[in-house]
Amino acid sequence: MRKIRVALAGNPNVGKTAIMNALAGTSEKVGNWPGVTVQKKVGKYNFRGFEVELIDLPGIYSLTSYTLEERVARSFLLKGEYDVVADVVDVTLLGRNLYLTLELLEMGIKPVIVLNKIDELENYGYTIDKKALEEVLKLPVVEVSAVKRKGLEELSETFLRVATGDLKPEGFTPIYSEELENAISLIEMKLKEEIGENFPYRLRWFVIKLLEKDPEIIDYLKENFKKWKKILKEIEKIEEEIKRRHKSDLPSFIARERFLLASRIATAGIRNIVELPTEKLSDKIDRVITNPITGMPIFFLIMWLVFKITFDLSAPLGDLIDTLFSDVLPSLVERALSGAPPFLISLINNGILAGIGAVMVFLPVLAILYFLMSILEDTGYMARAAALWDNFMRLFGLSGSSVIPMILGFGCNVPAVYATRAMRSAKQKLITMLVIPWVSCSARLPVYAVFTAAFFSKNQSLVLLSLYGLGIALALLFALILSRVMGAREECEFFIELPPYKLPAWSVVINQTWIEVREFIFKAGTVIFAVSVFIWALASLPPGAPYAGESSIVGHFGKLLLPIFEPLGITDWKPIVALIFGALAKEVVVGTLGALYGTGEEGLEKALAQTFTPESALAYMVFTLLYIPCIATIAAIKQESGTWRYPALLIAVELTVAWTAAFAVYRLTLLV
Amino acid sequence: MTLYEVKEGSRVKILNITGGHGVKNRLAAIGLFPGAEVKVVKSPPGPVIVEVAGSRVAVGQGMAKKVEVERL
Repeated sequence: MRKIRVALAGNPNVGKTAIMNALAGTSEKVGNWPGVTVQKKVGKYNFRGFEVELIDLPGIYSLTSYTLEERVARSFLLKGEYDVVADVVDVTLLGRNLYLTLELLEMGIKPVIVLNKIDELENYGYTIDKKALEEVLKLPVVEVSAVKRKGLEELSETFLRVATGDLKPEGFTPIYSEELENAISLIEMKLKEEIGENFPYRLRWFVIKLLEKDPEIIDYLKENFKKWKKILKEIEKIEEEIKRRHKSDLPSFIARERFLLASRIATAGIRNIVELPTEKLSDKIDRVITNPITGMPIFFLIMWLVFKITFDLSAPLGDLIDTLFSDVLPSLVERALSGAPPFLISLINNGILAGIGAVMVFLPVLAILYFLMSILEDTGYMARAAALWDNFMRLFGLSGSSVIPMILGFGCNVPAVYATRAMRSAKQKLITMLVIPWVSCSARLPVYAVFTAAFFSKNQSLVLLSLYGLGIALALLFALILSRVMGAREECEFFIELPPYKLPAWSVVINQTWIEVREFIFKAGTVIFAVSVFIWALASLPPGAPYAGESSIVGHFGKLLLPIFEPLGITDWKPIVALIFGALAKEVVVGTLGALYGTGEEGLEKALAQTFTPESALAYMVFTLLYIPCIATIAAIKQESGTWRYPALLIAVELTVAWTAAFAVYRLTLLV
Repeated sequence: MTLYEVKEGSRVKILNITGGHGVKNRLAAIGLFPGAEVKVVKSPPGPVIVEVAGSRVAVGQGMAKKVEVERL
């Protein structure tokens, strides 16, 4: 079968995901662009004997090289490893969207224009003259509604015709004002004097980007042109003239010219305009929900609802999965294999089944939370929440978009890490996912519950609050440090488009949830499973040793680590082994302690009272809060950042901070 | 006067934007550049919301203080 590669380019919020979903269904694979935290989605479908591969480029407003997303999209487009570029345009914001189209044309790309959301036009008081647009742009134009599945057949057909050469779009060359055109010709002439044969760019595009002071292009000029100083000086002269006449720097001047040309083209394609009132109901709503006084209570109410729905719905499912993998299936195995060596039964029950269970138990929370988040995103609330929180988050070098992932972290760190996908800035996304593990997730609560009941029954809530507070403070502190180190401050200058409110497109939301859950099972799930089996091996070897007992490898390990924990007031190896198991999921700490002290979870408080003092109990809780994230979170961070480097760094930092904080708490409380 | 100080409901013309080329370029691509006319839908507390080229854009307070405007 012949393959066709189609790259989807377009602004954020134009409905590229919906188009992907409508054409390629759930065939979508989610990954990262090489080496960066920018998401890459690829989908496939068959059409008239061709296999069409859709590559979703990051949503961008322009094609400069200032942000990671723009660089990823641009370098993909420059490499030219595609048959067709589809420029997805939100028809309700035609002028604004054509800005990117002009940039594509400047690059020499002749995209298929996909006018999406054509069904929504009736609310906007105008219609589109497709023919007129095709004539001006000299490009094929297809009207589509991805959500209502209209125009898809024609769209695929157009891809096919362009890919096979049956349709050869001529492509319009954007011509700007005389002033700008003169500047372009002048620099073009200077460059032609020493242009090499292997010059990889389209000259006109290269010149425009030079005038826009594009950092990547200026670097190329410096490396490849001997007279680069002279050329940059010439550009400076042009800029001075522009500044004098238009009170604008050169890059802004060019952007403005492009924007005005895009608006003119849009006007040529718009018909039957009816004047609509510019004040909309949504403006009234926005004023309420982005004003801190009214917006904050609404925000917390919505987040509370999200958690309530998630945990109410997922708790019974989670219990069911837990019973299945730790009770029902193991006893079946024991009956079926009665007489088999206990080692084998332990491998199946404590190793394999427990490993699968460790993956499965996350699914209900993950699926429900992801589903609810897609709804918040799709209805347009997410952008408002980001705008609402921006002022506060700026204090810590982050922007408003990082608030929702961080708050989700209180429920479960795993979906919180996945929620950073909705963030636009790659640097801030990385910072956010690295600080999420400091946020105390609900799985750590059972540990606090047991210890506070045993030692701090009088001021249980004060201790709990302090632990949560410590987690939040460290998350924000590390965000501040990381944003300084990584230079994310420029990206702090925040603005976000507020898409119109709308009902979620259910088919898209459901398909996307399914795709994410499937990716989790295959990518994070394999890591979680492997580590579970590995820890089982540590706990049951050498053969004959009681499971996780003193003579097992993990028991030896616990005793070996004892000197490190003695300064924290921990004098027994059992709590240390419990911490090692806690890497699977933090609530496992309690279960392991119960098993090791032979008390079960009920009599555990008494046993702990003999091993711990109130001071060392506090240190142990602080350590549990801060030490390594659970395996599922680590796997999620690996999956999202695309490398093991960040999770490895995170583990090292967290272990250091956990020990230091626990030590400080232990010593300070001894003094009091 | 900056965008931060503009009253809700008024129309303004952008005179100047302070910041790196990166920010200025991204703002220009959505229609916020010197010479552009926008309507202020919401003013602080919280972000400033402007109507520009048919869409609504929320601008953080820090950014809004860097956008110099004049009333129309």
